[in-house]
Amino acid sequence: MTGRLPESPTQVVDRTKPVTIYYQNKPLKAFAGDTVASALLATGIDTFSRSFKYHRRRSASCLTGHCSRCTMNVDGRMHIKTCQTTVREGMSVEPHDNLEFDPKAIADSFSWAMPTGFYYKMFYKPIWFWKRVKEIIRAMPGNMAAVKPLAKKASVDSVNLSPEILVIGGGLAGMEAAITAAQSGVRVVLAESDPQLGGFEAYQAEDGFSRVQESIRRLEQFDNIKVLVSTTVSALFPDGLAVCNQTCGEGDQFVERAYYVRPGTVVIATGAGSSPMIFAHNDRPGVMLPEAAQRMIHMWGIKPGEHVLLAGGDDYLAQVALELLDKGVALAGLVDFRINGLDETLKSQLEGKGIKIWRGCTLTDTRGSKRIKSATIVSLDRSVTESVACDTIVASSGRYPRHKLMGQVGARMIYDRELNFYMPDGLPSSYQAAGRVLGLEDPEAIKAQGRAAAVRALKTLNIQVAGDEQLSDAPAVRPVSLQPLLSDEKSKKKTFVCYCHDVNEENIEQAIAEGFNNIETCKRYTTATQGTCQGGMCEANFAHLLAKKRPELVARDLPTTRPPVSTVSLSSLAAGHHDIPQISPLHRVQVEQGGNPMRMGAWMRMMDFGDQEAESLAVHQSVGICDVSMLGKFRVFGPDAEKLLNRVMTKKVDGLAPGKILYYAACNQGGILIDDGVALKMGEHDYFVTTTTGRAPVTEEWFSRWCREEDWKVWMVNLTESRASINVAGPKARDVLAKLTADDISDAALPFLNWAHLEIAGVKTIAMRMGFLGELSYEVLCPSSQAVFLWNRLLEAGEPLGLVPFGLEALNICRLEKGHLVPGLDTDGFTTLHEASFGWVLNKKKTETVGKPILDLIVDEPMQQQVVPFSLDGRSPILDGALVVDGSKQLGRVTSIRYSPLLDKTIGLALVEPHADWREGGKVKLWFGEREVEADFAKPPFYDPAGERMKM
Amino acid sequence: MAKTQQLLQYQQPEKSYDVVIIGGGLHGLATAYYLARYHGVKRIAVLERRYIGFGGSGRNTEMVRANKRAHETLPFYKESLEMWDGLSDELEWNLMVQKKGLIALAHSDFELASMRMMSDSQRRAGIKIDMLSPNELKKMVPSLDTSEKPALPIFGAQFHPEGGTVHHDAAVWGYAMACIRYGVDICVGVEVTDINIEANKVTGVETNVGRISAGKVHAAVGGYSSEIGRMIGMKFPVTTIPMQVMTTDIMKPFLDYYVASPRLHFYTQQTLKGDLIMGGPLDNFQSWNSYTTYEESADRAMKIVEYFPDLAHVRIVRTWSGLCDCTGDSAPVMGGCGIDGLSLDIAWGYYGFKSVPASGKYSAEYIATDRMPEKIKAFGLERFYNRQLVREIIL
Amino acid sequence: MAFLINCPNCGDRNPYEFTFGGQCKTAPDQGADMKAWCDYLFFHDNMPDFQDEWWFHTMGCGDWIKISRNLATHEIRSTEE
Repeated sequence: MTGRLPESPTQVVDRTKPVTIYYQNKPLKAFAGDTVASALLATGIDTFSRSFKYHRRRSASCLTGHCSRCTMNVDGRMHIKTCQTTVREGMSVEPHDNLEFDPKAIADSFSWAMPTGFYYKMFYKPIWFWKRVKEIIRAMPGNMAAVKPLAKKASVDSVNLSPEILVIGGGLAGMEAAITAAQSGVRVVLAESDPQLGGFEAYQAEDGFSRVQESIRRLEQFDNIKVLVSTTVSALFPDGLAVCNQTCGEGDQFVERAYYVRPGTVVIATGAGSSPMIFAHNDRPGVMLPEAAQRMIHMWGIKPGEHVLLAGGDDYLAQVALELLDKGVALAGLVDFRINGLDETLKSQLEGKGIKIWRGCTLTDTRGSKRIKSATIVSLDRSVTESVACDTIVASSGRYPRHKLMGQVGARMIYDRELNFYMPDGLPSSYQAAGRVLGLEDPEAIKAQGRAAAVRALKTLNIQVAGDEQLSDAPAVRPVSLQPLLSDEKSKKKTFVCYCHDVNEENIEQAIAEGFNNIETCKRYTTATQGTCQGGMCEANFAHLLAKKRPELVARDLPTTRPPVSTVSLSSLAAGHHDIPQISPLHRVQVEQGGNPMRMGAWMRMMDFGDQEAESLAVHQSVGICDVSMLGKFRVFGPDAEKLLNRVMTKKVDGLAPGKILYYAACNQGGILIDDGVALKMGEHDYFVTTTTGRAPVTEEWFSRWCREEDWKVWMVNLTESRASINVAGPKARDVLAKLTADDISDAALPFLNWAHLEIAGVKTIAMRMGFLGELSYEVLCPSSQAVFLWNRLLEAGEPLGLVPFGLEALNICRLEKGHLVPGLDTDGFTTLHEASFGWVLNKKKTETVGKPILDLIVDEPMQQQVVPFSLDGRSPILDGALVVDGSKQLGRVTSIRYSPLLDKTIGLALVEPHADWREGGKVKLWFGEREVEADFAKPPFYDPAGERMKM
Repeated sequence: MAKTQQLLQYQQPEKSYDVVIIGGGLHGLATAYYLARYHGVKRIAVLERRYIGFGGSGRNTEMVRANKRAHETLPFYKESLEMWDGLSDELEWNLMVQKKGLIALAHSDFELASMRMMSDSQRRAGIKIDMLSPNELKKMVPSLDTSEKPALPIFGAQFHPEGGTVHHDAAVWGYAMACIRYGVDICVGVEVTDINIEANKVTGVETNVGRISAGKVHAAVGGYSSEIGRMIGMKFPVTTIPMQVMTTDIMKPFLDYYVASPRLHFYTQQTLKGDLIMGGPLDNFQSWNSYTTYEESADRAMKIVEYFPDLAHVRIVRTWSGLCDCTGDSAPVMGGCGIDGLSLDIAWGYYGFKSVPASGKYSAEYIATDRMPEKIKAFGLERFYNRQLVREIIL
Repeated sequence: MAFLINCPNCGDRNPYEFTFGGQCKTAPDQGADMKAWCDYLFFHDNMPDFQDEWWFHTMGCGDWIKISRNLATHEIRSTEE
């Protein structure tokens, strides 16, 4: 347990390269090639974690990344599998619990008081009692990671790969598949979750190791095989994406790396492991799978223990026993639950070395809570019971395929009673499996199957590869005996089936007796298989137990497999994803000039330049400029452009004269108002169309939707980002522009609701005269690249005239003064064109308008809601969203409300049900501060009712 | 130990019942329970083709709340929320009701305005609601980033102190066991293949184990609603869309509230066990297949890491999904469908869990009295012909 | 199970590149009544079977395509522009 075995060529540890890690803030000596787990085990550390319910001591038991009992906090990252994480200089490792002294371990003594689902049957009354108890329950579990502020932001890299073939598993089968595929010249990615290639054979003593080295040598000849080690394929999504998560090693600037691989075809060679034996206290430190013992002696040169007892129903255990002896590890003996099954050669070798073998026996119990001290061996006929001193139990109840990726792509695992193994059924043809995952053990057979898998996989891509697609003799899978269960009433309480959640045999029996008797309900009630290992160590035993209690469950179905196969950090999943707002070409210059940006939808917009009220007054009294570049802008052109626009728009676009602005609205098929904008005719069948900011991203989809079943010749170009748009508004707007242009911009030459090409400050623009803000105003469009230049020229020219930049808030005040509504803000997803008082925008004769049929059907029906303007004298604290009420009845809400310094009134719009008060002289009752506040119904516009200002 | 009592007992269905309920999820079981206990209906069968709680009941994120938007439905949701409190006692089973409080984040002035409107509306309906500033929010959820750093900074939040969670599996078993105590037959592995109708009146159902006659039939099948429609020759106003969920490794208690961002479509709570459950939006397209995708997992992970930066290293253990039958107005369909004796409790989308007690109660009332209860009037099927859609979503 | 959409212009693409446009339906004729319109707007087949539906290739060619997809298995048996 302490110290290392003599060096040997199979070891991955380089003792010439010491590495210091910090365990609980104390330095711990390790070597390059060690994993954190091996470094800890080498110093004699037994307990890695405390269990979930009973706070029992747990040690690493599989050392292959499956049991999740070795997890600790590594460099601030929680629940890291220490058995697959190579040491880095200065690494800091902390267990999640106080391992040596855990006061909550008292729970273990009270396990009798905690039968399955006990918490469902008690604690729930009175309610105040439950509230206290739940806080206790929350604090109870073991192995919880603490959430602390991170010292350093997580750094995860992400890489996209699209090889022809992805091989999952770098053991013999996987390497052979990779080599075979690479021979054809295709790109191969080989992913292996261990820090080095080799799989199972890498720790099968010298013979296995040499086999592996031979394969690696051949593999290294190919530069078209990309080898990813410490990389677990977490998920295989059936659309083809393979998400592979790598833990980065020494020298890598990143901590984790996500590979997003889209292969043409996949070979799954993920191997098989052992299923743990179940007996009382089978979770104690010192109990491990044979793979763990082999890895310790062969890979890291560590003794698993001083006095090792092996148990199982498989020659494999005898093989491991001999290997342990060979490394100088003392054995307590071998327990074989087969009466006559043990291979004669292995048997005589063991007996020749004086090793006791119990045949037809199994384990039922152990002693030693900090570390195994002894085991109880019982014969299957119960005639013999013997207690044997040992400090380590290496036990396995059979092989179990690492099948989860196959399940993710739709294969069902079928239990074979003869073999005591699960085989896949229904694996799609572009996923080929090979090797130990299909039950094979013979290295040559495994390699041959790996080769065949690659050939078949590439065939699905019509790529011919030299090699045998079929194996001439289908290799037989060696059956392994199922562990016999000899548990009694007492031992069932401590015979763990699900280690992650401390679920024992008695719990499962009780659940079945209570009526939770199929795998899905039993799983949920007992929580077995729902922990971190997600069935990796327990689902086979769980299925067997269930079948033992309910023999009619012949199928022994396993619970549903879901991604990920192994835990993945949030930052790994998020790698490469960012949410970045869009900024207009005028963003930076406005911020420099005092603009206050705020995110609105997808864009950053200027709310104001410090004083929204002064800005709104400037628009009325002199002139202001505002960046409105986010508005949607589109070119719609082609011989059938009119047909499309006549469908989408409420107005008829035929006859639109050059130079004239057509204001339009758009509805969906339900007659709901969804958009508004303007259309300009730029040339023959050539239109420039604007939309609201919010609709711009979906405009191409919307417009093209309305001609998707037609043979029309019409095309669109999205100009939203390539054109900037500046609103120059105020009585002095023309004066400002006149200083920058030689073109005639008199009212006669460019009247209200007209547009023209203007050269302003040398910039070629389109200027549109519209009246959204109620003053003389020009919306000036120019190429985005020239926007800053134009903006600054306007500022310069306008400064002596009192020109100020203004933001969205001032814009809001001005448009509200005119009673103008904004679709989507003052209307919602139910407001029809009529209810928005937009009936005047609808060409009544044109039948093809989207939404027209419903609009015609409802035109005479009572409205369900309407937009109602209101005002209050002076300032008011009432905000957007205030309810409109009538006593206890809720009528609607305020959609926009602002104080107008020009009018010294607070004005707004509300979206409300029809009501008798919506008329001159009526009152609009707003709900604010838990009481009613009366406003006056006011027919808009609040300012310049004749609309003369904008027609100056 | 003492002899174990069988809590769940399933029955083979008999030849006839007063009421047959199709669907052994929470809505079906709750309806059966209220019918048996409070309306004295003697012969009730719940027919379930997989296992109880197979669908949405076994897959949801456990959120219960009453802070809905459409004011005419608030009394219904308020009552449902209140019913959860007494349910553990009534069903004699700990549903692990945790009224820990629900926080809904606002990321813009527009959302704050919207939240203000909903808060006023909810308060007028008697629901306790507060608005929180970013500073107040930070005190309650220290691990939340309330600074200017996130892409969509938090402007404030709505706090619904009575919102919280209920253990979904516990609810399924609690109602199921109570059903059994009150004489309801729960029949699993029984699939309804057709609904028998004569002269516009329901007479029973056809199943894989034979015909069962029934005075009344009630459909509560979740994402599979349209199959019922097909049996009666009707289309329903629903599309079935999956919704994905993720869960993590366990952590020491650090999050006391349910935190949701309606704008960003993500919500998360820390369970009693210590893991974080993370929900998100509906998937992008119609499907009857319960799968999970990288895109959804990554999107959710990005949002969690953006707003809870200390959770960057938290590891995902499992992803899964469930099917949601969604209408255009995010409100369910309850009551009749034009065929005598056939009632519906469908179209619950992704908001069916919170409504279990009240929808069970009022479905039972409808079935027993043939009258549409006032509180669920807004949910009638005819609203889709009257264009009286529930104003649950604004855009 | 997820699936790939074979866009006639762009080839096999991830469905998340598209916007789902719903079941293919024929709008009611001129003169149809409100019930016909409500049927069309709000009621859907929604069966675990093949469905003709529209998809818009938002992050691609910007074309609408019609596919016949099985909502339960995601098998796509036809794609047309």
